[in-house]
Amino acid sequence: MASYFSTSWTIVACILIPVIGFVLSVIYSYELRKIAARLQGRRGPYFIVPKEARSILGVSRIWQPLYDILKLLYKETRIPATANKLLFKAAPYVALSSLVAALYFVPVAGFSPFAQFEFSIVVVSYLLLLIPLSLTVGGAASSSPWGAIGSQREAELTLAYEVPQILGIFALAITANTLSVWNLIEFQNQKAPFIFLNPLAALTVFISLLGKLQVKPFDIPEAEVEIVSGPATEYSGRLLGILEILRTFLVFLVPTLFIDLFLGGAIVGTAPSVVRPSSIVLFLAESLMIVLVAAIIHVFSPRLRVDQAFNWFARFPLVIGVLAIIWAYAIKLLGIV
Amino acid sequence: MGGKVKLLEELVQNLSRCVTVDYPGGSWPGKKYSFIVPNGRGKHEFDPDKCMGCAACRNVCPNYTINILDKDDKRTVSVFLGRCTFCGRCMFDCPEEAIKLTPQYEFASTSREDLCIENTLERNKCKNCGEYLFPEKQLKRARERILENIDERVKKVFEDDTKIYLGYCSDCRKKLSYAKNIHTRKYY
Amino acid sequence: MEKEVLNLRQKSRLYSPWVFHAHCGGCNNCDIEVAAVLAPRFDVERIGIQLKNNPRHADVILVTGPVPKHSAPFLKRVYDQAPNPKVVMAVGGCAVDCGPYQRDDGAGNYALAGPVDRVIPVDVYVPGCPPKPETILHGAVLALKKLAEKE
Repeated sequence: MASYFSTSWTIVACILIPVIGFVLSVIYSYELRKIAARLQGRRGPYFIVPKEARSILGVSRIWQPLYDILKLLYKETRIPATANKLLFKAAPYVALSSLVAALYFVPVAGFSPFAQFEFSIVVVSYLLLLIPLSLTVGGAASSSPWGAIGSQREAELTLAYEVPQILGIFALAITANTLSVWNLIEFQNQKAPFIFLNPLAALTVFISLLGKLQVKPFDIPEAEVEIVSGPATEYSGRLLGILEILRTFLVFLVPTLFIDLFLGGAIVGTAPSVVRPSSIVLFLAESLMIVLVAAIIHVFSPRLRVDQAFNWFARFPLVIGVLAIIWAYAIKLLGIV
Repeated sequence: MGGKVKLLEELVQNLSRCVTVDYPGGSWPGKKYSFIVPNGRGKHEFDPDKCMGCAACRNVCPNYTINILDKDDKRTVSVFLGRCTFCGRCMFDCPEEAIKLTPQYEFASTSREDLCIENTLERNKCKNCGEYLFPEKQLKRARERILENIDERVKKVFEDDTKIYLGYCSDCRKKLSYAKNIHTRKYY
Repeated sequence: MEKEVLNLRQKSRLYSPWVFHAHCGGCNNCDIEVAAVLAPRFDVERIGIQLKNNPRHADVILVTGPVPKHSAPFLKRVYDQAPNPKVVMAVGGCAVDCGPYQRDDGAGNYALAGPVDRVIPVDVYVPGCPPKPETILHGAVLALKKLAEKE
């Protein structure tokens, strides 16, 4: 039964979810850097600093991504003289607010104010599409040639990974006969998690989410050696801090979305409206595993060119997405589900 | 495909071996924290007892790094680390082994003046005209070195003469050579 | 920082500096040593340093090499593009005082606009030819302390 929280609980949830999301995203981002470093044979940011270095380096560096963000927020902001100032300044804020708005529709271990909305999966896909769109506009408004090239590449990459993602998500919607994230989680808890029911859709959506997270081999818009930081070239100071917060938040959103859609929302038993400790532990464990897989793929791959990425996305994940929809219809017709 | 499997195996092996050296944790000479090569050439160190201010290091330095400043009654030998290429010629050519390149490598600084390493010596005064000469240690040491290798027949005469001879500057030496009986015609 | 209590602004600057490496002529040996500092053996990501290729994102500008006359306007432009607060490190004998590219009377070279001092203001000097990676790390720790003290 899907009902909304009372007004006071909704306000509490709306304040609490971004805060919890930010704290967890700092930890996941730290884990990404640490595992990528260890796989390359070096140490990465310290988890516990050795005693002799504590006066210089502090006690622990687990909040390293937070220090990056804070340092950027305390720096001077410079805006190019020939840029379109309104679009340039507004683009990071629009992107961040759409990400936070999308977070309200995705349950975090079973706790969400608006996931019970009837069409919430459509709203989430729509809001998540607004992020690369506003970054494209921001990069183009910065009146720099690197920004223009970066925006074009970002738009092309977005088109490449959005289509297989939509196909995969709608395969789930066909099986469960609903478009609401909450009902999808309840369906999974009654029958079986979708990763077993429809593994093709799981594969498609996982690859597309890696493209959204911009780990290698898909970190094309911010390609360091080729174009100087892509759309983010002319940003500095506070606006760059907002972009960093955006990137850090994405590392929280991607595992949460995958867990809700395919791994049963980390809810043990039937979907309650109160969060149980066992589901929190399960949620954290599954998120860390997904970040681990993303880190291994990040270290293991080179960077693709944007036309190579587009061709690959149009061949492999798109075909599997279409097959996922056929599979969803097949298991519905054959009466397995 | 075989190459990718091998790459994955190597990546997983890397998890157990971590080659990082914990440098900023300790200070020199903490052995655990970095590589100290015993013959490494790093910061210079003067031995003030041995240096006699002969300026051999300045003459042989290829980079004009070592400077000798003669001012009033002091001679200052200074090495400017910022320009040095750490070739080691000053160490190899010093006759007294007074300047050495130690393996110390922590010499970054926030101001330019910190990078000068100096050694100061006293200079002799001419007894007649009061002008400043070579450093006293250099004259003494040069005399000792010659006395070690000189032929026995002229040793006594050299010893007596140089005791007087070395107290004067070169102009006064010429003027007073007959008065003080240190002229060279007495040898033949 | 010996037992000082840092506020959040100083702490975040001390723990996360981003470096831009500006190469201005020279024999490239100092650049190889800078690359060795970023490699796994002397990993600087433990200290929080990341190498960025955009001077607008950087806090620390690392300059190597004596500055030829053609490169001096570009170095000045990179310095102007970096937002405050920033720290400049001159790495290598050439950057501190032109190194082996001297004339015998110390009067300067026909092709150089001088050491980095004469083009942009320098905060930390790291001499050596080339400096060992540990020396560059020692200089980096000094630069961090200076960065945390700026306003």
